[in-house]
Amino acid sequence: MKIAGIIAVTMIFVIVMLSFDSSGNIPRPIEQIVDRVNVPNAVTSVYLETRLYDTIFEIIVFSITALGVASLFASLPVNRDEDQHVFGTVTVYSGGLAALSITLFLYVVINGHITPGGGFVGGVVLATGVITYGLTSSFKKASVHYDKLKIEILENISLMIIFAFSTLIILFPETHSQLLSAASFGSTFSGGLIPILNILIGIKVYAGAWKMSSEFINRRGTL
Amino acid sequence: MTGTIVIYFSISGMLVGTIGMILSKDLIKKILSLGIVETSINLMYTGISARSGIIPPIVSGDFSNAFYADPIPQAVIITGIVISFALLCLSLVFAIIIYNRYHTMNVETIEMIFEREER
Repeated sequence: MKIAGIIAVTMIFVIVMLSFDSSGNIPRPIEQIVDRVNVPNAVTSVYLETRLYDTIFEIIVFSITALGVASLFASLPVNRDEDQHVFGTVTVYSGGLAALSITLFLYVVINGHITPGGGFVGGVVLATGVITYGLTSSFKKASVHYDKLKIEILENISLMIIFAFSTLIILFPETHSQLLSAASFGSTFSGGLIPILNILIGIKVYAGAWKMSSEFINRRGTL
Repeated sequence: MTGTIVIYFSISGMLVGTIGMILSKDLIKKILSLGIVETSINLMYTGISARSGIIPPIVSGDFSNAFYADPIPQAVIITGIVISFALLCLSLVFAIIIYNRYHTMNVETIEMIFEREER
């Protein structure tokens, strides 16, 4: 049975490999995209302007996952073990790394439509920095900011504003493209609503990623 | 050229991951194989976008003779990356729940205990 499955899977992949046409017609849509959206980073202009529906549902999937992880973990016991073995040099460097990741988050998120980057990348950068700080220095100290800065409320507010701005862009595409073409090509303010959406998506992704990882760290020792 | 080689490598990576999912009996190893498949799919989309050129699609001034990569597969795979991350997270949570209940990660043992419980 198992061997039959392996043979079937191998045959499927051989058929896929043979049927792939490497010399086919390659479309070049980049000129039309840049003409339409007037933003240097073509990837950002695709996923925040021409295929915005995709991004909205992606954010919904991410929120539902964070919710599902939190609610499924609620029935499992929390690890109360508090002593954390740390190594001095790493502790010193991880604080600097967290500060650096905050700066990088701001840069990547604000310049997402000019340079490589965007909301998702920025959120993951910030979450990685803070989680590294928590793992190498003090997880308790790192998780204080979640309640102190009220990130849960901030996350929900940013989710609502993302939906509101996306609806605006989808309903009035002409107005937004006028807003985009008004500023000079390549400046920070040439993005219209795109940098604001990037900042909000960054906050949303950071909050979700930190929530999920801290739930996993709180239930450590199970596996 | 680069794109075609990347696509062939990614298809073989998907094959390796799928066979790993079939053959391994450990739940965590199954989830890791799923991760390999997802990464290969991301790589395949990168290869598809690199067929028209390997310069990143960030336009500076004129774009008459530069071979930019196709931005649309890259923008589509951002959705795929987030969804694969979500899938991995949720399956790890279920693995932890299963471990707390059955105290093993072996699929056959879990099935055996489950059948005994049903009787």
